[in-house]
Amino acid sequence: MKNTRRLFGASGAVLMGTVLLAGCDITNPGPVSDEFLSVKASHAGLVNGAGRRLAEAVNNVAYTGALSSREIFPGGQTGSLGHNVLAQGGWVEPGSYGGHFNDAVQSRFIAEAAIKILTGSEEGADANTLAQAYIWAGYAYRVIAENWCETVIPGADGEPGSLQASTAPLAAAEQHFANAISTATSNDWKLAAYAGRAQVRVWMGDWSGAASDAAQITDDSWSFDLNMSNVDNATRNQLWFANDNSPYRAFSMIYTYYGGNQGLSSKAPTFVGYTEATGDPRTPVGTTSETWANAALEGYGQVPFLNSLKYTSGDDDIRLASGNEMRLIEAEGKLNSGDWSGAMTLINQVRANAGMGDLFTGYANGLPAASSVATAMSYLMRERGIELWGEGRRWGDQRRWLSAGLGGDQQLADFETTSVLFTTTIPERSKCLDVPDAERDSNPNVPTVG
Amino acid sequence: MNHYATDPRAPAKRSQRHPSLMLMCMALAAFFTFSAETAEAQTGQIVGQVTDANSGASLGEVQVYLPDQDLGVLSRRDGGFIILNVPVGIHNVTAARIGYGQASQQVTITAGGTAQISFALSTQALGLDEIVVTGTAGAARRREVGNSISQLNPSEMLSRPVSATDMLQSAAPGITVSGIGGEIGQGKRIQLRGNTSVSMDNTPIIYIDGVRIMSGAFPQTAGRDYRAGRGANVTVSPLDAINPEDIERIEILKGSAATTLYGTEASAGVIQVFTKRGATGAPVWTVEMQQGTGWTPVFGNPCRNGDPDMPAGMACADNPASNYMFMEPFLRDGWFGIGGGDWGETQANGGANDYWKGREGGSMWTQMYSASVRGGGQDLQYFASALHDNQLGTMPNDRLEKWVVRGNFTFTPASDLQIQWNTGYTNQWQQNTASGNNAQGISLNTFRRERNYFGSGSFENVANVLPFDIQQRIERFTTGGTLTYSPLANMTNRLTIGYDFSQQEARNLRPFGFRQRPKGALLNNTWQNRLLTFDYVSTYSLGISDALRSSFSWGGQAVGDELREIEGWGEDYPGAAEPTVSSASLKIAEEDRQRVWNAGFFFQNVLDINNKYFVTTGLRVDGNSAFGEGFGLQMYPKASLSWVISDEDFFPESFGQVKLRTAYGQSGRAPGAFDAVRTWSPVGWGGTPAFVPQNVGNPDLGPEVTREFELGLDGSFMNDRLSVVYTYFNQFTTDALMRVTQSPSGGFTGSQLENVGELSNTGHELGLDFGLIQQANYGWDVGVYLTTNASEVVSLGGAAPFSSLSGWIQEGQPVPVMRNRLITNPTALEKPVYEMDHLYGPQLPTKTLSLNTSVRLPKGIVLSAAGEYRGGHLIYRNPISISRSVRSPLCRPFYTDPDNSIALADNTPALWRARCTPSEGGRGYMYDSSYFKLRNISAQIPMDFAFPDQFNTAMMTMTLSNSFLWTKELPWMDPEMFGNQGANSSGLSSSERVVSPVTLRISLRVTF
Repeated sequence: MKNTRRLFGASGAVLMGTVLLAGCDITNPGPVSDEFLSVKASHAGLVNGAGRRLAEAVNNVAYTGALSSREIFPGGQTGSLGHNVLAQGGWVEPGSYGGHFNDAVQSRFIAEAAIKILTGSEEGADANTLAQAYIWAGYAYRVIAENWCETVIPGADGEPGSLQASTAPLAAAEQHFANAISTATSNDWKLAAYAGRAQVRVWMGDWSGAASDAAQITDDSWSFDLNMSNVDNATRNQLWFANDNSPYRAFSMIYTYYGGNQGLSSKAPTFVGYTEATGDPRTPVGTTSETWANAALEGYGQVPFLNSLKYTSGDDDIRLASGNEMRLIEAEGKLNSGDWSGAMTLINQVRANAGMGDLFTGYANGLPAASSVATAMSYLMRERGIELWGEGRRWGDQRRWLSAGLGGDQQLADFETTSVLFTTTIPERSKCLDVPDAERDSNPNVPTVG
Repeated sequence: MNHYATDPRAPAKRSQRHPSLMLMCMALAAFFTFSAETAEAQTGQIVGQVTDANSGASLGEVQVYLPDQDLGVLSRRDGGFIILNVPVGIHNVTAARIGYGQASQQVTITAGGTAQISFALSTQALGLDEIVVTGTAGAARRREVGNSISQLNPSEMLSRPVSATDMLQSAAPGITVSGIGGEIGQGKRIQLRGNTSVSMDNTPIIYIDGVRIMSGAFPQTAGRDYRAGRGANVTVSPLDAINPEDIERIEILKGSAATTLYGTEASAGVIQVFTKRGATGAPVWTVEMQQGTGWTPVFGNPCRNGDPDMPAGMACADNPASNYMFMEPFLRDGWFGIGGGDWGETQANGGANDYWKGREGGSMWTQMYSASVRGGGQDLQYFASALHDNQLGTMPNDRLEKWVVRGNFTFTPASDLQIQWNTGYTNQWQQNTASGNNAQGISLNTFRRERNYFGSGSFENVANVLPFDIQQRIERFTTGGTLTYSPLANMTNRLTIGYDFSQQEARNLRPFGFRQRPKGALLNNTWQNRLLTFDYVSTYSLGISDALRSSFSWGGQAVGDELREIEGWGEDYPGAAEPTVSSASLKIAEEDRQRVWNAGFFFQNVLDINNKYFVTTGLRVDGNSAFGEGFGLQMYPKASLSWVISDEDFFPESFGQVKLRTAYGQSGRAPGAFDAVRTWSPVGWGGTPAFVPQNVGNPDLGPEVTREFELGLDGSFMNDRLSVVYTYFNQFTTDALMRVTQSPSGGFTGSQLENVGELSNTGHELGLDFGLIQQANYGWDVGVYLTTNASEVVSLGGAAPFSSLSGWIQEGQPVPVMRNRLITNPTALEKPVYEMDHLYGPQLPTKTLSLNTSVRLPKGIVLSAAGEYRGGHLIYRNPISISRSVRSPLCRPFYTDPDNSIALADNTPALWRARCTPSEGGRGYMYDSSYFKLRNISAQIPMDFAFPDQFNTAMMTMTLSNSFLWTKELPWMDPEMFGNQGANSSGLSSSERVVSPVTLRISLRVTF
C-alpha cells in the first residue's frame, strides 16, 4: 500500500512538472519589445528605422512612378518587382501597391513615435538624433503628398484617420522641418531640413518661402541621400536591380521622353536622343551584350535594351534633395513671379554644374533661347526631369504641373499608339497612387471604393 | 544466458552474393546477436505449415515461436517452417502475423524426433482485440475505441512503396497525399480531412515510436536575389527519410475527436509510425535489392485529353503537339529508350561542350539495397536495418544518395519492467537542377522559348542554367526510449523520452562566369529543427463488478520545438576558383532562432461494461509558450462511446462482427512563436542599427480550437470476406486564427493573428474491402475507399476576405474558394467581358474515390493495381507567361502564324482572347480539376524455385507507378503539382515544373 502511494505520488510529481512547464515563458532572440526602445542607447536605431522605411518607400515609388511618368519604357518583364501589365502601361489599379504605402506611412509612424519617445525620455536625447526624427517625419509626409492621390493620417492617439487630400500632410511636414531646424546642432541636418521644407513649400505654393529655404543651400553639389544597400533586398536600388542582367532587364531607356525634341531635329525626341545629341553626363545610357530587354511587349515585340547607367549598383544611393534641385526650385519660383530671365540663369547654372552649355549661348545643338515664361517653364520641366531622373520625383512634378494648368502630361505619341498596352488596355495613365485596399478594408473611416 | 537457435541453412557462401551488404549485416549482427550456442544433445525439431483459414492459401512470413524457449522462425512463402534444436518436453508453439488472429498449439518433443503441426490463421478484418496505441492514453483494444483510427500494415501492401509517404497514398479514406514534380527528392504533402486552419499549418503531427518528429517538409532554399525561387525548389519530406521496410504499422488519427489527448497541436491529425521490433527466435535476415528506371510522361500537349473549349471542327491534328513543353532535350529517358526524354542523344550530339561536364547522360536509374535482421530471446529482442539508395533522376543535374540505419531493442529486465529504445539515422545527399518559377531555371526558360531570359529557346542558350549547382545534405536522427513499469497487476506507467534532430545544409552556387550572374553567387543555408518529447501516462484499472471495469489514465506531455537557421551568402567572386562564402566580395550572414514549448496534462477514464459497451471521457489541459500572456491554459474535453453490437445476443452470429462508435473531442492549433507579442524588428540600415515595427501583438491570443463529432461503424461480414469502415465527421473550428489586416496608417502595417474566425468541415468516409474470390490457389480482392468533404468559412469575425491556402477565405465559401475573373461571353467573337472576383468553388477535392484490387494466381503470383479519383474542385493553372507574349501551345489553334507570332485570328472567341492575349494578362485558365490517377500496378512473383535451399522466402516485385492520368479539363499539366514551396505549399498552385516521372521498379527480397 505504501508503495502504491509512492507510485501515485511520483506520478503526481510528473504531472505537476508538466503543469509548471506549461506555464513557463519562452523568450526568443531577435525581435525586441517596446520597452527596449525607450532606452537612450536605442534612440538612434529607432530613428534610423524611420530613415530605412523612407528609403524603401522612395525606392519603390521611384520604380512604379518611373513607369507611369514615362521615365522608363517597359521591357515586358511583367512580374518585375510586382509590376503587372497594367502597371507597365502606366495604370496603377486602385487599391494596389499597398507595400509602397506601408513603407511611407510606417516611416512617418516610426519617426513620430521616436519624437515622442525622445522628447519624453528621462535620460534625455541627443539633439541631432531628435532632429533626424523630425527630418524623416517631414520627408515621409512629403513623399506621401507627392505620390499618393489621397492619404490617411491617424489621430494624435493613434485612432484611425480618415481619407484626406494629398496636400493634407504638407502642414505637418513643414512643422517637422521647422522643429528639425530649431533642434539640430549639426549644419548638415539643418541643411537637410531646409531642403525638405523648400520641397514642401513648392507643393504649398509658397514660392518665397521655398526660395528662402532653398537659398540656405549655397553649395550646388550638396545632396542629401537615402542610403541604398545591396545587403538587403528591400533597400537594394530597385531601378538598378530591375534593369540589371541578373537576369532582369525589365525596362529600357528607349522611347522615353523629355519634353519634345526642342530643336534636336536630327535625333529622336527621346531621352536617348537627347543623350546622344548632348552627351549630358546626367543621363548616361549604355548598351550591354544583351540586345533585347528580357521579354516582349505586345505591339512592339522585343524591346531593344538600352541600359540606364545612372545607377550601376544596388548600393547606389537615391537623392532625397540636392543643391541643384534647390536652384531649380528658385528658378521655378522666379517663373511664378514672371522672371523668366532670372529663371534661365539658374537653369543654366544647373546645366553648367554638369558641364553642359547654357541654354542661351552654349547649346551645341542650337536649342533656341527662352524668351518667355512659357518657354522657360518648358525648359525647367525638362531640366527637372533630367536632373531628378530615377529619384521618384517625376510623377509628382507632372501631377503638380498638370493641376496648375501647366501641362506636365508629357508623353510621346508613338509610345501611346504603338502598343495596345498603352491605348486600349489601360483606362488611363495614373497620376498618383491610391490608398491601398488594406487601409480601406481595415479602417472604418476610409471608404472601400478606390 | 540467452539461447538462440542458429539456422544451419545460413552458409557463408551467401555473403559472396552481396559482399558489402553482407559485411554490413554481419557487423550489425555482431552488435546485436548475443552468443550462439551449439544445439544441446537432447533436442528434437518441429516441422509445420501455416495457411490462411479462409482460402487455404499458404502463408509466408508468419512468426512461429516457442514463447518459453527463445526459439522461433519465419514461415517460408509456401507456409512451411522448421524449428530446430527444440529441447525435449512439452511446449507451446505460437504463430502470429499482422492482420491475422494469433494461434497456439502444444507439441511434445522427443530426443531426435520431429513434431509436426499446422496452423490455419484467420484474418482479422475487424481486429476488435488488436491493440492500438495512438490517442488512447496507453494501449487499448480496438473494441474500446470510440473514434475512427486507421491502421496501415505495410506487410499487407502488394506494391513495393518507395517511401512512407507513398504508403499513405490512397491507403485509407480521408488521407490526401498531394504534390508531385520531376525533381528528384521532392516531398509530398499530407492532409487529413481537409483544412482546419486558414493561417496555420494543416499538416498532421508525426510520431515515430512515441517520439515526435518534424512534421512539415524541409524548407525550400533559394538565392537572396529571389527568395521565392532562385534554386531547385525541392522540399524533402522527413517521412521519406524512413526506410519503408522498417515500418511495422502506421496509425492515423484524422480529427479532433481522436486527437484530444495530443492537445494544442493536433487539430490537423496525428500520424504515428511504429517500426519493426525484434522477435523471439533465431536471427531473421531480410535482404532486398531494387533496380528501377523512369521516364517523364507526356505533358504540355493540349490535345492529350482533348479540350472542350476547342472550336468546332478544329482537331488535334491541326494542333502540332508540344509534348514535354520543349523539355525533351534535357530529360533522361527510361531504360531501352522508353519515354520521350532524349538527354543521352542530345549529349551525344553536343560533343565536348561545357554544359555536359560532370553530368551523366543515359537513362533514369534508381538502385536500392537494404538489409535487416531481427531476433532475440525472452528478455531481449532486437532489430537492426540499413539501406542505401542511389538515384539518377530525369532532370539533367538530378542525383540522390541516401543511407538509412535503424536499430532498436526491447529489454525486459524484470517481469514488471520493460525498456524499449529506438534509434534511426538518415543521411541524404542530393543534387538538383534549377527549376520551378525561377528565371535562372531550366523549365521556365524552356517553356517560354524565345521569350525567356536568354531571348532564345535553343538548347545551347537554355543550357546556360545547367552550371547552377544546387546541393542539399539532409541528416535526420531520431532516438528515444520508452520505459513501461507495471508495479501492480492493474497499474501501468509508461514514460517516453525522445529527441529528434533534422538538419539540411543547402548549397546553392552560381559559379563565376554563370551567364545570368557573371560574377557568381553562393548561398549556404543550414537549417536545423530539434524536438524534445516527454510523455508520461499512467493507467489504473479497477474491476468494480464482474460486468463493470474502469480504467483511469492520467499523464502529461511536453514537446519542445526549436528551429535554428544560419545562412551565409556571398556574391561577386574574383575568379573561377572553387568558391566559399568567405571568398566573395560581398558577404551577408543571417540567423534565426525560435523555440516553442507546448506542455499539458490529461485525465481519461474508460468504463467497460460487459466488454461490449465502452464509455470514454477525458480532458486535456494545455499551456503553450506561444499563447498570449493573458490567455492562460486551454482545456480540451473528449467523450466517446463504443458498442460491440455483434456481441449482443440478438445479433445473428453468422452476420459477422460490428462495432458502432461515436466520439466527440476537441484539439487545437497554436499560433506562431512571435504572434502574441508586440515586437519591433532590428533590421539595420546601411551598416547602422535600425528598428521597424514587426508585430502589433495580442496578449489574449490563444489556440484555434477544433471540435469534432464522429459517428461510424466498423464491420466484418460474410465470414470476414467483407470489411466495412464508415465514419461521418463534423468539425467546427472556433477562435480560428485569422490574419486580421491592421490599418497600415496606424504604423504596424502587417496583419495580426486574432482568434476571430469560425470554420466548418463535414464529410463521410467509407472503406470497403471485399474478398470476391478466396480459394487456395487463386483469389480476387477489391478495396474501395470513398471520402467526401464539404468545408465552409462560417465567420471571419469582421475581418475582410483575404487570400490564403492558394485561394480565398471568404464567408459562406469553401476553405478556400477559388476566386478569379469570369469571362461572361466565352464563345462570343469579341473582346472578353469580365465579371470581377467570381467565386468558382472549392480548391480542395470534395470527392475522393480510391480503388485497389489484387488478383492472386497459382504459384503465389499476385497482380495488383491502385488508383485514385479526386473531383469537385477547381484549379487555376497556366505555366506559360502569356503577358510576356510567350507563344502558348494551347493558343496555337488561334494564332494566325503560330510558329512566329501571337497575333490572333479574327474568329477567336472571347475565352481564348482572354487566355492568349498578353494585354488581357492571360486570364481564364480556371479548370475543373477532377482527375483520376493510376498510382501503382504491381506484380509479385515468388522466386523460391531459384533458391530452394537458401532462403525462407524470395519474392520479386515489379511496380509501375504514376503510369496513367485522366483529367476532366486540365489540358497540360499534372493537377497535383505545387508551386515553388513544394510540400510546404498551403495549396495547389500554378507551376513551371516538369511533371513527376513514371517509374518502374523491380525488387528482389529474400528472408532467411
